[in-house]
Amino acid sequence: MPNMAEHTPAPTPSRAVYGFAMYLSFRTFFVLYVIWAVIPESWFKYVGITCLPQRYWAIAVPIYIITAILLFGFIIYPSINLCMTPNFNDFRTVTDESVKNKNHNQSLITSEINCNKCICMNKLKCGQEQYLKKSTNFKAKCIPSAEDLDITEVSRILYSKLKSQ
Amino acid sequence: MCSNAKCVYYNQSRNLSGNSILLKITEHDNKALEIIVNYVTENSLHRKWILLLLVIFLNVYSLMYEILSTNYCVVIYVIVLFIIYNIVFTVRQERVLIVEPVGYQIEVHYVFGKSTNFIAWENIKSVFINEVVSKQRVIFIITILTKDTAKDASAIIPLFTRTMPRLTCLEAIYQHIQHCHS
Repeated sequence: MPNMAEHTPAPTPSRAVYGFAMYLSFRTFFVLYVIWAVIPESWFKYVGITCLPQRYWAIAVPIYIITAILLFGFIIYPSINLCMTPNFNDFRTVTDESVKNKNHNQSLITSEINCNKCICMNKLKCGQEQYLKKSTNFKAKCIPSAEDLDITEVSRILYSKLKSQ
Repeated sequence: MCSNAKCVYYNQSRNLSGNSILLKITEHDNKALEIIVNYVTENSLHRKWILLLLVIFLNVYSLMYEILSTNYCVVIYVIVLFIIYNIVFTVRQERVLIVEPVGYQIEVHYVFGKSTNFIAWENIKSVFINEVVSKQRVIFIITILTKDTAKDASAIIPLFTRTMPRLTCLEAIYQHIQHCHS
């Protein structure tokens, strides 16, 4: 329960304090940055500050950051996405590994089957097989789990010619 | 031997790149179905060849009489070779021939020659229309689902990937193939 409360985007007192502190600090930093970049060096010498970084960096660092963001966001990231998409003749365009289990909508009433492999000599007389074949031994789950529809059936329903047309 | 060919569908439309394509479905003797999708070009291929020949001739002339320096001539040659490569491997037509108990024959016709692919009838599980992501766009492609008995895995073979007809054409093709299968 306390975990759920932390994930909401609602305003809280601690967030308000963080926000105000960040606002003050960023505003101060911006004002200092503009002062350092604009005011001529002789004024700094007059006050006594002699050890400051070169003004070149006031322009170079923002440009470096912007170039890196541009390069990544417009070239590298779309290229990674394009490399990741499967080809036309790849089976991943149709399905993936989430479609392996049978009997999605049904679960057994009794969960006392503790041996999964049948070792009977005669499969027709195997009690477990007979039990699993009867549909009355299953009960439907309340909410059916997500399953993949067969692509052939989907195509047939969507694109076949309707008899009424 | 003359076959009784009956054209059951004929439509001219645009494909995904905006080029004009022609779809023609014919039934032969009620046993074989042939689907042809070809590009409708406005005969600009001849103009391209003439232009290329002119460029090559001018290049040789300038190389012999030293009008342009050798560097430029070599660059022009490389560009001309690249353009020739593009033109020669342009797809003109794609065909699918379906013969009921034999299989599917898929042909791609280039400017010179064609490439063919054959799928036996037993290997084919089904035909369906698939939605694929390609270059930040979702497109519809009609595909064949096969069971490759050697590898015991399903394989997907997309049809009409070079001519890329739109959904209305694909629906017509799909309905005719369904009719043929059933």
